Amino acid sequence: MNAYADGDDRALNVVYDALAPRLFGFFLRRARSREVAEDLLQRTFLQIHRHRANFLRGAAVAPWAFAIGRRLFLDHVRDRGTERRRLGERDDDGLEFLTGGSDPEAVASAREEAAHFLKRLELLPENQRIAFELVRIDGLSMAEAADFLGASVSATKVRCHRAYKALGLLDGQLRGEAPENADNGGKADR
Amino acid sequence: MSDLNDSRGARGETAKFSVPLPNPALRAALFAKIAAESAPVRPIQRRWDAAIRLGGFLASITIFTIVGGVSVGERPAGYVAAMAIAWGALFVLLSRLLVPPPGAALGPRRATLAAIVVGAPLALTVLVVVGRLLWPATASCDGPNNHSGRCFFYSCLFSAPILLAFIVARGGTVMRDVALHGAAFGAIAGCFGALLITLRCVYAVVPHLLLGHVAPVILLGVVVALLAEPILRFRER
Repeated sequence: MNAYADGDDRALNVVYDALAPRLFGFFLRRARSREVAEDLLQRTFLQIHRHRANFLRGAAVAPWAFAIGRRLFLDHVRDRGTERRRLGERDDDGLEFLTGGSDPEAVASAREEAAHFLKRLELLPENQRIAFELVRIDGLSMAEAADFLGASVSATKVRCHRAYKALGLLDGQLRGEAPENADNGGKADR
Repeated sequence: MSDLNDSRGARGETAKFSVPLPNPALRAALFAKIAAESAPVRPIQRRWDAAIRLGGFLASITIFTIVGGVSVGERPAGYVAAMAIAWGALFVLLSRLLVPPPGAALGPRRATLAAIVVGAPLALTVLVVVGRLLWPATASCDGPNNHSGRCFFYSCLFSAPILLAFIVARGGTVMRDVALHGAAFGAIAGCFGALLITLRCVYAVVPHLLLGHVAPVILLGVVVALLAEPILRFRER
């Protein structure tokens, strides 16, 4: 990103490859629409391009890009005049974008599990939910998530830990991983 | 990576989900769009930002000079020098705190911004009291009833170019805690205004200093915090 901010346009390839899948997942999970997610992804990269001169040397790019993406998503929600849709208010679970698996029954069952998990996620206090989403789902490192949240790394860890606890992840109800593994969940792209 | 990507079914089978990647055609369209438009680059922006900051500083000094510049009056010269150094050092320190720590992309931490906003008027108040204790002779440097209002006005006037420079340089960029950033900009600009009015104003009684010199710092912090959303928040270009 530093090279790109200094005017090396070819560096955009690296920035796109590092960020696009994570940002796309970020939008998809919130908007639950592939079309909207692609539109927001495109707009986010246009803003990254137009605001690149303001990117601070040596800073982590993920919190910066996610902050742009989040702002655009909030503007999108406001422009549409709709509140963020909660799972409980939908007829379907909105997870049609999740694909994969060879056994349709296992996929359906696991999709149901994922929907249930997202419902529980929605019930978390906002500061815990956002910290958890950034680290565990969006793949930011603890330091990047802390930068995004404006909190210290230790405070971010505490929020994540409480979210893990509330979601029952500490005793491996959904996955058999130790939550500390999430500390290495993302890489700082500088 | 994600709990959505790896979840166990009710019967214990593990289904691997994949969140789809963006359409490759999107990448091609996006890159074509970006290639067609030039965007400012950082080296030019840095020079532009430095020019804005210098412009704000010079405009403030110019207004100060037009109004009459430094005036000691009956105040002890040591008091004036000590206040100038201490208030100037506070301005430099607070400005330094506004620089994001290494690696931070979205500005200083929330606690740092809050410390600037609360610390600026608090530190100025402490300096006012310490000045009064160290130079008891300043107790007699009082003036007419309306002098606090005049100092309040001039303090805001001297602060305005610095504040404008902050808004022009940082407005519309990506930052976290927009209102807190705004309050910090207001407080730091107010500190500079307070420094200049302290060099200019010949009255040194504590109530006057608090009302005419320190209160504008609070006012500017509050006003800019309230106006931060429309004037500072990230804008799509």
